[in-house]
Order: sequence, then structure tokens, then C-alpha cells
Amino acid sequence: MDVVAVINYKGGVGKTTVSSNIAAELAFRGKKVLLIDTDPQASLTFSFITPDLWDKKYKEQTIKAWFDAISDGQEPPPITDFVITPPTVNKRLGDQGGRIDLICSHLGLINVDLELAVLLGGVNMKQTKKNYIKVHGKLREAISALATTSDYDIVIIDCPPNFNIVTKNAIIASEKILIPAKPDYLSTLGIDYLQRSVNELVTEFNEYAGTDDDLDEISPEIMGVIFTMIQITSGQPIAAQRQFMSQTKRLGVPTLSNYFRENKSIFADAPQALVPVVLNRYTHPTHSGVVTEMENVTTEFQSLL
Amino acid sequence: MSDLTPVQVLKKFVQALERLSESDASRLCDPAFDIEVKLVAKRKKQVATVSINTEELLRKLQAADSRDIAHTLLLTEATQTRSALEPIARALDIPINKQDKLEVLRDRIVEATVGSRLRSLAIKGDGIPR
Repeated sequence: MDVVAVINYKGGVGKTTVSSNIAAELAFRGKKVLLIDTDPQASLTFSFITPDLWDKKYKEQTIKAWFDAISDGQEPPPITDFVITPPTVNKRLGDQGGRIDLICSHLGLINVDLELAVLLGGVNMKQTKKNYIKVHGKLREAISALATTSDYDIVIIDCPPNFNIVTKNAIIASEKILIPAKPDYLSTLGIDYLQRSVNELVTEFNEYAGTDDDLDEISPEIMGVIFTMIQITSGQPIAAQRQFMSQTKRLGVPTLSNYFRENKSIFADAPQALVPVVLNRYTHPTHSGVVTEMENVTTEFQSLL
Repeated sequence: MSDLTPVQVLKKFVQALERLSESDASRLCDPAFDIEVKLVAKRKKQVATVSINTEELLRKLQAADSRDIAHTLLLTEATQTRSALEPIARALDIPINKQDKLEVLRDRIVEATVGSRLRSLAIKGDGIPR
């Protein structure tokens, strides 16, 4: 079972679009996919279920509720208790045997960080390290258990654009990190921020984990930058974007050769239909071209796992 | 003046189209725009007196420790013209606007090479060479 975190420090770069479309295409190809939405904005959640259904049926069954148990000093329930199977998208997956499951987010997840932070610290260094691992390593523990108790081929964690305790849990739980980025000045700076934060987190966690014989060290690998919102002219990204794509490569950051194209006509209302764009079939050549490009991204993504 | 063949004339049209900026190229298909043909006398090509090795210069720019050093590399006798700087800009995928002054092009090259590296190092906290 692969575990991939999708994250960038910069907001609005298309993290949710990347997570939902790659997940949908993988499921269409027969993979069993678990999506975990750790962003309090809950955009991924609301790409698969309507906010009113979430409010009626699922708001007590979210990743927040799972973290709340930790904040209350209890052992959290099995993470499988929080998994739902969004009906609309799963009806569109064909007969290859694939499935998309989801652990929803909650708008109140933004407050969980403060509650978890209270658990940090301790009367001595040993206690401090123990509490650090307890707070930061829980999702890793839960997802590791999934590998033996579930049939998932891959877990994709959609992260918020910050580096709080929930996000750190997601990074620590992941083997790979996928970074969606718009090829512009500020978004590419976000890649550097992220690399720095990941390196610091890995060093810190491994230092603390070293004191516990039962804990393995972590080494999440940056699988690459996936460029998003690409504008195409004459069959290639426009020059203004190309310069930042090239610059990222020159800085030695791995990048995917395929990308997500900008297309407001099909992306603007796709989440409302609760089915990612990649599962739609279009007659308009530009729109079907966008779908083909996302299929190519997924093929490249699979080759990097 | 020797007469050109129709093929040679068409080639000139194709070359003119290839010189269009991205925005102008996209307007070709826009019904709001018409196409007019304007003929201009050919300028004599400037003969480069000093040649530069673009690859070598790029390598030096990438390795430069500061923006000042990179600027110095771009202020030599060989890099005083647009025609000398444009191949470097193109190799770096920097957009080239015909209206841009030489200084602007030079700044963009510096930012795309040593500038981007220094920014990245500063954010990552890997230490910037002094």
C-alpha cells in the first residue's frame, strides 16, 4: 500500500484538483483508493459529497473526530470507523474493481491544532519526546495498521497549505510527497518553504524516534512537482509559465513531465457534480485533451510509486 | 534586384509569422482582428565582433555566488547586444519582449540563474555564500 501526501505551502495551487483527479483515474483503472482530507476548508470532501449531506450524515465521522480523541487523551478509534464510500463517483468507475473511499474533513479542524499542541511538552526530555511522538505519529500508526487490515492499494492525503500538527501527521505518515504548483514566482517559492519544513520535520521526528526501539525512522521522498493551471499556446505552456517550470528543474527539484491544464469551463463546476473531470467524456477536443493530459499525469504518477 | 520565386515569398511569410509574439499569434484566429501586410526594408545585419560561448556563460552564471558577479559576467564586450543576450534568455526559457531594454533582459537572466538559486537557498536556510 502506497501512502502519498499532496501538499504545497501556497494556497490555491490545485492540490484538491490533483488529489481528486489522480484518485479517480486510479480507481477507474481498478485501484482501491483511500482519500484523506486534512484541510479544514474541506474542498476535497465537498468534491465528493454535498455539504448538506455532510451536515446531516457525516459531520461526526470526520478526521477531526479522530484527532479529537487524541486531544482528549484517549486512544483514537480505528481509522476505518471514519471511512465513507461516496456514492456518485463510485457509480462512475466501471467494472475494473476500483473504489474510492474518503475520510472527510471538518471546518472545525482548524482548531484541533491548538488542542493537540497542549499535549506537547513534558516534565523532562524523555517525557517531551514521548509526547511529541504521541501527537505527531498517530496517523502514521493508524495508516500502517490499514496496510494489513484493508484492501487499499493507495492512500492519498490532501493537506492544507500550512505546516501545523495535523499536516505534520500527514507528512510523517507518508512515503511520498507530491507537490502541486502553479508555475509562477510565489508558488515556486512555496516549494522551497515546503522542502525546508519537510527536512526539519524528518530530522526532528527521527531524533525523537531514535529513543524508541519500536519506532522506525521516516524518510518521506519528494516524488515531484506537478505543475497545474497551465495555459497552452501553440502546443506548449506559455512562455511566462515555462520560465518557472525550467527554473524549478534547474534548482534540482524533481518535476513531472505531464501537467494539469487551466480550463475554467470544465474545472469551475466539476466539484458540484461530485465527479472529478477525469471521469467525464467530452466531445469538445480541447476538453477531451484536458482529460487525456490528466490520464497521462496518472500514468506518470503510478510510475513514480 | 532578383525576383523571388513564389516558394521563397511564402517562406518569408512563414518567417514573419514565426516572429510573432504569443499574444499576436493567438490574435490570428480572433475574428476581432484583421491581418495587414506591411513591408519594411531589411536592416543590415550587425556583424558580431566578439563571439560568446552561450553554454559556458550559462554555466558560469549558474555557479555565480552573487547577483553582482552575474551582472559582471553580462557586462563584458561580448554581451553588449540584444543578439548576444537573447540566446541566453531563450536557453533559460525567459520570455523575450521586443520592447524590453537590454538592462531588463540582463536582470531577468540574472534572476533566472543566480537569483533563483539565492532565493531558494535563503528560504531553505542552507546558507548563502558570502
